[in-house]
Amino acid sequence: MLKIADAPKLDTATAIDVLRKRLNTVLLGKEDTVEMVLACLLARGHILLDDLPGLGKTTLAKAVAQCFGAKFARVQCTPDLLPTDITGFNLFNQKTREFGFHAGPVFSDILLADEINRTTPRTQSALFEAMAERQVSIDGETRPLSKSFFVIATQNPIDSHGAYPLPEAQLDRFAMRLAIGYPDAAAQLAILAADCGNRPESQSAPVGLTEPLSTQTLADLQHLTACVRVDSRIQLYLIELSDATRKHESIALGVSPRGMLIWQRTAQSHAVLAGRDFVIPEDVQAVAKPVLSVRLVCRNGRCDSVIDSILSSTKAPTYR
Amino acid sequence: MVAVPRENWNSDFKVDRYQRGAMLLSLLSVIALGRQRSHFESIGGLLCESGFAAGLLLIGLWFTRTGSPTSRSWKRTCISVCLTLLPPTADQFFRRMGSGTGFEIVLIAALSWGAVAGAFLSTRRRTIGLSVIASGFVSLFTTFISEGNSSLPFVSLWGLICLWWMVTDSWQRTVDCRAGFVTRRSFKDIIAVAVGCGLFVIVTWSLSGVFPAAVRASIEWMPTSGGTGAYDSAARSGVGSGDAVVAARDHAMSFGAVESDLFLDSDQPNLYDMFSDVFGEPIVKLRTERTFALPGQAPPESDQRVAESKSGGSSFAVDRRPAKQTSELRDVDSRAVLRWIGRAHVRVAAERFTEFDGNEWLPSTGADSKQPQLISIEERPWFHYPETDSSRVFVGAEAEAVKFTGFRSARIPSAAGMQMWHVDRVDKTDFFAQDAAGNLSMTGRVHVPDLTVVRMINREVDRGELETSFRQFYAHLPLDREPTITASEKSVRDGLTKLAAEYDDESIGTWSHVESVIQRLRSEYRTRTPARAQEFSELSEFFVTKEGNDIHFATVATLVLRSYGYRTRFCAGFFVPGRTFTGSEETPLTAADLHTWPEIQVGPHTWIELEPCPDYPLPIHQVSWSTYLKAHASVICSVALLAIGLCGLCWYLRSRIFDGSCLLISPLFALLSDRMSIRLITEVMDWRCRLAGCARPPNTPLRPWLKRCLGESTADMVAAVNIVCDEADRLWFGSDSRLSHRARSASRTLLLRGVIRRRRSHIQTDSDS
Repeated sequence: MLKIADAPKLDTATAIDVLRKRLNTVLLGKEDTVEMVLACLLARGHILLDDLPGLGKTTLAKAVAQCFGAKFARVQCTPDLLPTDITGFNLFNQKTREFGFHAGPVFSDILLADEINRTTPRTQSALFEAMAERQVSIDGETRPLSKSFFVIATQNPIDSHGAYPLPEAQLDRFAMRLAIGYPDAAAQLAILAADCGNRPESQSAPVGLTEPLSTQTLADLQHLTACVRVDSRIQLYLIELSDATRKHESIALGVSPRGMLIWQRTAQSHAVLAGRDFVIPEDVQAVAKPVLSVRLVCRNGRCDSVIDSILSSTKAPTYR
Repeated sequence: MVAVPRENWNSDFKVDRYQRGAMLLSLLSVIALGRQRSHFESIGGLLCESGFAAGLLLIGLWFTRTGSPTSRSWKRTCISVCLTLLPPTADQFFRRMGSGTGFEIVLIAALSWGAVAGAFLSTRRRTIGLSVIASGFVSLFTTFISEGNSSLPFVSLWGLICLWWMVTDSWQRTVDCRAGFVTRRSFKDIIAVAVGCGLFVIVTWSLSGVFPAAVRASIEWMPTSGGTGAYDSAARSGVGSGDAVVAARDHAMSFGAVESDLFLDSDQPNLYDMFSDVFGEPIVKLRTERTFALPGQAPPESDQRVAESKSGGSSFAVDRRPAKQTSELRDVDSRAVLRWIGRAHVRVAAERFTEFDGNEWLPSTGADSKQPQLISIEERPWFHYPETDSSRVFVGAEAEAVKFTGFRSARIPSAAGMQMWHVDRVDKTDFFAQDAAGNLSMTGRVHVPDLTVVRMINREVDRGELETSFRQFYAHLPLDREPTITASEKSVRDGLTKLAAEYDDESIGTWSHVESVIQRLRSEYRTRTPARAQEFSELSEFFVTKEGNDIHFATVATLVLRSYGYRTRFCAGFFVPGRTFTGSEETPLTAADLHTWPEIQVGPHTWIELEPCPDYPLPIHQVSWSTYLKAHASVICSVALLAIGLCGLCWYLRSRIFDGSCLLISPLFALLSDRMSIRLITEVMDWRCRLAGCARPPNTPLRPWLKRCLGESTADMVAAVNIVCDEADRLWFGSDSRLSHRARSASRTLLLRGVIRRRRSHIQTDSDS
């Protein structure tokens, strides 16, 4: 059993179970999406939610923040949004006759950047610097962000007038692209019932799990994820898969080494979610689509079938 | 036997890779030695010994799991000693029964079973290592005593496995065992070993003279293997032409008489007596002492008739070991008169006789009026007789050839079915002539020039058509005709007449009748012993003693068959032996290959050879596919239908057959390493999926696919799949190095009960739904 060194009272499995149950209570009928969000969170990556409005993107981000009692901030990206609106700025204080720093929303633990493709590339770049470096430089002073800084960006695939599509180099900063999709009938019924106040018993918050986990717990889980064993055969498998994306005729831009690193980290976090301290080929395959779909440029649009073909044609390490 | 609960089993006896390697090596040495022993020991005896040994081994393995540690150790030691003493005990028993084997073979067998005991029953690394050394010695000794190359694969395999065993398992341990880690034995141990050795010497000395084996042991170890240089006076000083030394070296395990000056002048009858027993009055020899340890290449019956000494020891038995067939071409090349390039076991007639004057065969005088015809094939001149359909003969035919090296005659030896011939660029038809008996010769020459090569196409007779063509050819034969015998001597005439009457039956005029005559001659008469082979005797003696040479057989067969009206002729020539020489396709024919046989006409222009002499193999006439198919159409159809039915049944029951096979191999599952057992399970389950029609797609994880194939109804199987996959993942990609007992039992459950009967279509429907 994995142990969190700094939080001996709560073991890994329980912590993950708590997270999983809370998020599934919030986002009904989307267990797979929740699993990927958790994997991304533990891998210290950022998520791009690419879906239609009203499917629970903001709700999910808020729920993640609430789970850890973390500081949550939301930025509604518009064309007139300035970089300082995100990073913060220095303001001259007349009383003290000094400049005082007014922190922007990036100085939070979990940031929801809603409709990120609506803002200008200048503002997007400021956010991406914060995502990549986990620090911001304002007036020559570098300010570190929270250790558990986690960005959930959303974008709307329709209504692209006046939008600034994210370039591929910047998309590579995200660990995953996820689509939540419409819930099934049972989940929709549960949503309606919850709105009327008759939430089913199974979907109410479990007893004893109402207390939020700490951000230290999140940091511990992230540290533990980084310690998960990746066998050399798994790494060779990752390399072969990455090479295959670069050589595939339907792919214009394959996985970069940075993307490969993120892929390995997300596979590690997937292993942690499965209760293992080592990565198996199934972990690599499970996170392949969300990790690759954010960074592959396919010639014929959708990348899912291409990723499937790469996974099925690349020999995975087996017990033989 | 009382069942012991698994949880009470001893935990100190665990078979690891080190011990498994030693087990494999020891078993290999036993198999290698057993294979050599099977050449001169009874198979039944060997099987009995192996069965007893296997039983003792099983009992010993059972003892490793029961009782207290001390009692287990004692039991294992007792079983090991019993296993080691099994070959001497069995040998004494078999000697009472009239068989038995050599002393040194018994010792080596004891050593090999001791190695098995050490490998299987010991828990100490040092003992296991000693068993490997012992098995290595046995393997090498087996190679040493075998004359052929048959034991080389075993020793090579042993070497490979031993190398693997040493490098992979024991290398690090060997490095660690440097001198600094050696623990000196106590003085008490040294004294105990010295006392033990002294006791062994005293007991051996006191028993010397009591048992024959001890007598031989008192002279030297392995005395019957030719002796050592220190005791072999012949080897030290040289004997005659050196044949004795050569014979002792080449046939170290044989005790046949060696013809050399030393032995001819000696009062000792043979090499065996010279080196195996004390001098003095010849002792009565047991049969086993004379026949054991013969070379391992299935010696012929004549080789096993070893020399027997007479009372004085000054005379020799007449049965001698035949001259050794040399394997060097140069040794027989100088004596060759012809060289044959073609098939083995062919009879090449140098002279054919048709006239018998009642006493001997007369050479043919009249020339055949037929002139050979010349045709050009591949720009080379070939000759054939008008009646031969050259185009038919040449289809698929392979030319054979005779090369003249010292043949002082103008005759061209040929096989019975020769249809065409060709000599370099000779294109004159008058260059050849054929007499009435069918002998081909070069006209106008004293003999065929040396190094002449005559290539010839010999037509094969279709065995399937032989019966029909023979019956048609001899359709004119009267069935109730009195056999006509031509012989000058009355005794010969009477003998032939009696024989012809005896062999006469209602099948006369058919090929079966000819075959029955030849078969009866082969079975009812015998050839002379090699010592009398060259003696001259009259034909009349053949009927009295019922033995003779090939010339007697050929003459009698020719005359008897001729008496029925069959057209036969007497042939003298060479029988091409089956020996081959390295680097040469030519077979030298010497005087030793001379032979006589009859030929019979079976068609208008077709003659085939017969072989009445039992020492020579019968001519082989192939059956063409078309004839065979025609003759056996109904049987072939039935067999084909049966085979199709069986294949269909096997295909229908393929999953169950596979499951049965898994059940059979399941006892071996416990011997496999953790990784090997997982590999086996993966393979087995994959094959089950394939056989059930739901083969796992490439790179699909095993766990979800197996769950789908097994279905939800078998919850215990799904649980076993989960356990096995979890542990296998941990073993392969995690930091664990061993499987847990739970995973082992789950693997075994999957192996035995993980039956898959679902089709892929069902699985896809399930997943779709």
